[in-house]
Amino acid sequence: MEDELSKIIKTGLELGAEFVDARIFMDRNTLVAKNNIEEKVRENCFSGSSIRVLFKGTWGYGTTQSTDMKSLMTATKKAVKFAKANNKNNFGLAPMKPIKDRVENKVKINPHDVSMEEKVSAVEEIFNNAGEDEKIKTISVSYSDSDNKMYFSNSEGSYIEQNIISSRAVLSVNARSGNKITESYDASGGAMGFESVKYFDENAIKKIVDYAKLQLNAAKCPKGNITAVLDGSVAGLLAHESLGHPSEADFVMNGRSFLSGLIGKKLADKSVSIIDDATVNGSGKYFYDDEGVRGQKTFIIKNGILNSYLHSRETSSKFGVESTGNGRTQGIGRKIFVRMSNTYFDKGDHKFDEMFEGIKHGIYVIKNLCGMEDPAGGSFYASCLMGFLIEHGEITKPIRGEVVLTGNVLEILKNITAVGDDVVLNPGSCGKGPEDWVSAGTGGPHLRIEKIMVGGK
Amino acid sequence: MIDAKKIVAMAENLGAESSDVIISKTDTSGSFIERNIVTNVLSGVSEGYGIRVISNRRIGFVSGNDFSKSAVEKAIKMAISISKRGKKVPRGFEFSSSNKKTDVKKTFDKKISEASEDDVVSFSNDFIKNMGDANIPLARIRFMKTEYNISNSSGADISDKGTFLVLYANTLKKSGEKMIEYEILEKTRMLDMMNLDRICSEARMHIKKSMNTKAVKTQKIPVIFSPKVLTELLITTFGEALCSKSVLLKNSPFSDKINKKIASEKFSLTDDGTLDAGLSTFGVDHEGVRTKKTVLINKGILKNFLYDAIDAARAGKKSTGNGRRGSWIYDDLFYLEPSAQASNLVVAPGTIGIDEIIKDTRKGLFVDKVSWPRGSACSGMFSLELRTAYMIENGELTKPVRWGSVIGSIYDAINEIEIGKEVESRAPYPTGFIESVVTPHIKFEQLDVVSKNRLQCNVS
Repeated sequence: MEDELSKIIKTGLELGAEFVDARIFMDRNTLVAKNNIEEKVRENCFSGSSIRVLFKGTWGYGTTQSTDMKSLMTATKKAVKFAKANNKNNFGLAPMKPIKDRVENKVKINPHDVSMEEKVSAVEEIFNNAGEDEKIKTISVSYSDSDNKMYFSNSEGSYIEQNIISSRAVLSVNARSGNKITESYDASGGAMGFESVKYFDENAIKKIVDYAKLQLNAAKCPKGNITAVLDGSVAGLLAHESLGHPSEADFVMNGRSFLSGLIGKKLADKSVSIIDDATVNGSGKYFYDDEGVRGQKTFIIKNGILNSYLHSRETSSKFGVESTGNGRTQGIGRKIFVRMSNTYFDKGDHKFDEMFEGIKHGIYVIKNLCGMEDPAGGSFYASCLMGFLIEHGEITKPIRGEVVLTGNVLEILKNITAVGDDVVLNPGSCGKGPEDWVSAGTGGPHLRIEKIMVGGK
Repeated sequence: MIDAKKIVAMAENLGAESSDVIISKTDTSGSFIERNIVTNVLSGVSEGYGIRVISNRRIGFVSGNDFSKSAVEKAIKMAISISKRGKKVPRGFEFSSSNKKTDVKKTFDKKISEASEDDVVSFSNDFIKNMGDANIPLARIRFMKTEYNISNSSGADISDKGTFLVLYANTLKKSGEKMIEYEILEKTRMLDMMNLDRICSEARMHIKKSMNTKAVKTQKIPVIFSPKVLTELLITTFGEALCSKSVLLKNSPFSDKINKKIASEKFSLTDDGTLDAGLSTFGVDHEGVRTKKTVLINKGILKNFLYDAIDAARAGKKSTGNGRRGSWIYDDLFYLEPSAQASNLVVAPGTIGIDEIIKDTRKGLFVDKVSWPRGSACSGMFSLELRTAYMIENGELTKPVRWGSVIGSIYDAINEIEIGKEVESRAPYPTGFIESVVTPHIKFEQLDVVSKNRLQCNVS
């Protein structure tokens, strides 16, 4: 691919571009899914190219679904033509030393070595194990894996080949009693192989089933400013939505982040650190971002102090810092933005039982469902599977989901009074607004927050 | 290049009992605006095939975009191989043999399909100009043309196409320490239907009005939801619960409620895949069945569910032309196998204008935007975080409010409503060719509004 990409780069420059980078993607993914009425087996194989050129401060993008030279040249010419259509001088690009590298992640069980029959059997086994309880009326299991290759080159002389294998397994169940239907789920996955299905052992399945059953007779969610203990999954959503998005430097640069101007300020207790880390084996793992910058571990908040924004090459040029390797794209035909990788609260020193000590009335909230960022307004919204009441330091009655957490991010951060020592990392995906989806991991340890707004459905 | 019909013939030669193939292509020209300047101009094409084959009454699905003969052959063999472990189709199921499609209007516009990069930049600059002194941190504009061809072993060979213009923008204004943001999401099938003047003046008006936003108080009051809120709320609740998958899996609370009252008699809901200029209108669905209009709820009484071809055979019904391959992640149709999905969900308008409804409300809440207007298809429950909302006092919109949520179940709340008469056509996401909603404002008589700031701890 190196020769093909170098010809494209040369053509882009000859046509007047000041900078060119190009990436060829090749992705092969499989899906096996089963629910109470059907089984689904799917395989997708795709390749394509995305060429980006810079001309007088405007990016032009040309894309093609082919990898043949003729299509690549057409896309390159189109990229230059499109960039020239605007011709506004908006920004520069910080220089970068050329990189030559070939990288791939190591997994325990390569999905290529596992037959489709074995994948189907694994899904069926989880389905059957979850279906033994009579209250569980609907079960859905899916397993998917992906082998994603990126060939990258730019006009500064970089050439990178990157291969990331990832997988994800999800079990969701519905329990029913009369007209009441409840839901529960769990997911496992990241930059790993077929081993992600192994997560769903007897204990994991029982927990998921129990959560659905418990909600059938659970109390309504309390409403108000309440002390809450979040599990690692909900803590991850808080890290991602409330601090991750507003620390994306394009939001800061475009005047849309409440974190603007707060670098170096104390936002939380010194026990609180939030990290974005492309090097761990979560969903957001990569060696190089889509601009050819090495992925790294970045402290967004370090010991309570806002330490760094997340940067692409474009924003790092504006801020006069080095890129943090967070320039990512959904894929072919999509713009490169500043995006998170794996974002999580760092571990603290509280044991699980200590998280609940001294809480007279509170709520223990488990499993994130979805969240929404508000980088301009600085508010936080998270919808969670369910909860349990905390009474006099003990976990007591189950609370029916969805439990909704809202509040002002800066207030929530100040109200974190205990950080657990048990970090988990969950698979997920993330949009820039309502589109441009990339894989992203979220996680953290248990967190105790004094007074967060709790509401329920 | 290999066409869909040839792939069907190849599948037959390679041993498939039956097959259907979709080839779709989407051309996009678009731009990104950042800081009120066009910073990116994009061109893209996405083309590929999706192959379903049936062997021993089981289905396998493969998709790809390498159209070389060897790659397609490999894909077919893979589809046949994985069909051995795939979904079992009901006895007697056959792919549609019809080559008829519904005559639909205002779904293809040459001004969009032939837009040049200069047209895209010019449209983008018009938007910037129309927003006046408001900041545009980020906006995306896309001119899209999609076309698809479906062929199958039952003899169908049918094509359709459509155009879309998408505008998604975050707009904001600062005043001292305050930063007021307003999100724009507009989608049309025809260029001339995108009224930038109206869209931008509405956004500017909301930004201006929201400058002195206060925290909402906890209370139980009448709440009016705008079509922007109702779009995704209706799709994720009624839209999903009335589709065959939920019904057959019995995840839907309406599975056994046909001909029973499930809503106020003021509420009628139709799925109309044939709607003029509908954001989900095509003449034929994504497995070759002509689209139609299906009454789902008539004056509060549940009448029908929506089916794709396989689920219809499973339920002993006919497909309603809702075998759709929509995704809010991809602008592609070939990537996924079809399943029952709503097309254009149309709420029948009432007879009273929204101004009149507001006038008749002594105390209430008018909600224009929330952070993510989704609900649960199982329970109808929602908890919507306010982003742009106003109190109604003595029949007038008064102070802007935020920092709170509206909580309830739409399946309960839909029993006591007032429906406006002015409808809007909206899509929930900028990406993909998924469900849309045509609805007026709806006033719900009593919903819980919960403040983030002003509540006493209420643990019970």
